[in-house]
Amino acid sequence: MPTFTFTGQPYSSPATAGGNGGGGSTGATGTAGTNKYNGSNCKNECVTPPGNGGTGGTGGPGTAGSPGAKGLPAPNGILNLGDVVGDVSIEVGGGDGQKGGKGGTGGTGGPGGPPGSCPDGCSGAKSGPQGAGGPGGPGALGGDGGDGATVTIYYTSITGQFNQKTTSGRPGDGGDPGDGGTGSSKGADGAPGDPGKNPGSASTIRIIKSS
Amino acid sequence: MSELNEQQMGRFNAVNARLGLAPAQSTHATNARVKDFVAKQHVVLSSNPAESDIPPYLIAVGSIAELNKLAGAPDDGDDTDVVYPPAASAHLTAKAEQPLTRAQLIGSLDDDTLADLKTAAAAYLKGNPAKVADYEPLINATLFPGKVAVFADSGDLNVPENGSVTIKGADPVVLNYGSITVGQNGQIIVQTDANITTQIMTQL
Repeated sequence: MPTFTFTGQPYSSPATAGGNGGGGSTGATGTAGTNKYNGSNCKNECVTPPGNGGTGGTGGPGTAGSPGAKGLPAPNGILNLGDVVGDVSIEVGGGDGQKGGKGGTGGTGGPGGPPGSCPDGCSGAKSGPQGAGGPGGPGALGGDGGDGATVTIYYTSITGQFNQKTTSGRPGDGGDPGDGGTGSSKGADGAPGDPGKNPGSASTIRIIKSS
Repeated sequence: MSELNEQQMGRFNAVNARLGLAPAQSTHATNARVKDFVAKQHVVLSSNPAESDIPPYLIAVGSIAELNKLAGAPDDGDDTDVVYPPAASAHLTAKAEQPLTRAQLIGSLDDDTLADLKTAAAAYLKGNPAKVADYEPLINATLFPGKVAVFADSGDLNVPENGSVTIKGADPVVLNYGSITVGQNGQIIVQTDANITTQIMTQL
C-alpha cells in the first residue's frame, strides 16, 4: 500500500446510456369477412371468413451509449516531508478513463393487429402475433486514461528509503451492449463498446534532499 | 507522534505565516467536528466544506503569484523535470487585454491553448515563473480569482492502520502539520493539486 497515492478521482458511474428503441407498430387489421342471406333457410351464410390480424411491427433499435470521458488527470503535488522515519512509497498516475455508456434497450415488438370484422354466419378470426423485439444499441467507446503529473518531494533526512512508482491512467472499459427488446422473439443484444484507445501520459516523481 | 524541536516548530510557524496564519495557529482549533475526525478510519479533507470531515480554512487567491507564495515549490534552482509550454504568441497574450468575461475568454480558447495554460500554471508553481511570464496575464484572467483550502495543526495527522486520508476538491489544498504518521497499510490519497508540509513524516 503506497504511503501517498496521487491519482485522478475515479468516475463513479459509466457514461450516459443510449435511448431505448420505440415500440413496434400495431399489426394490420385482418380482412373483413363477408356473408350473404340465404332466403331458403332464412340464415346468413359466410362467403369469405374474416382474416387474422397482421403481425406487429418490430421494435425500434436502441441508440448507442455516450462515449466515456477521459480519465481525470493526476494532481500536481509538492511534499515537504522534513525528517522521514521509515520507508515512504509514492505512486503517481492519472485516473482511469470512464466506462462507455450502455446501449439503449431495443423497443418492444408491436401488438398484433385485430382480426377482421366478423359478419353473422362467419367464425371469428384471431388477433395477429406480437412483433419481434428491436435490437439493442451498441455500447460506447470507453474514455482514454487520465494524464500524469509531476510530484516533487523535498526532505531533510530519511532513516529508510523512498520507493516510487508511476502508472498511466488506464483506458476505460467499453460500454455494455444494449439489451434486445421483448416481443414474440427477443431482439438481438447490441454490440459491446470498445475499450478506450489511449492510456494517459506519463508522470514524474522528483525527490530532492534539502538542507 | 514526536514533539517538534525548536527548529521544526520554527519551520512550522514559517509555513503558517506564509498562509496568513498566526504562529502555532490551528485551523482545527474552533472546529466542533475534530473529535469525529480523529476517530474515523477513513477521513476526507476537501476544499468543498460539504464533503470534508473537517471544514477547510479557505483563503481567497487573486493571482498565480499569490498561489505560488502559498503553495508553490521552494526555488531550488532545479527545474530539470518541469514541463514548460511553448512560448505564448503575441496574439494569445493580447487576449488577456480583451474586455471579455472569464467564461467568454475561456470559451474563445481552443483545447490545445487551454492545455498550454494549465501546463504554464503548473510550471509557474513548480519551476521558474520567469520562463512562463508571457502566460501570466492570461493565467490570471482565466484561472483566478480562486481559493485555496488550508488544514493546519502543529500536532499529528494520524492515518490509522488500514485507514486513509483522502485529499480532494475542486480547489488546491494545502496541509501544514507538525507531524504525519501513517500506520501499516494506511495511505494518503491525493486527488487534487496539493502542497503538503510536515516536519516529521513517519511510515510505521
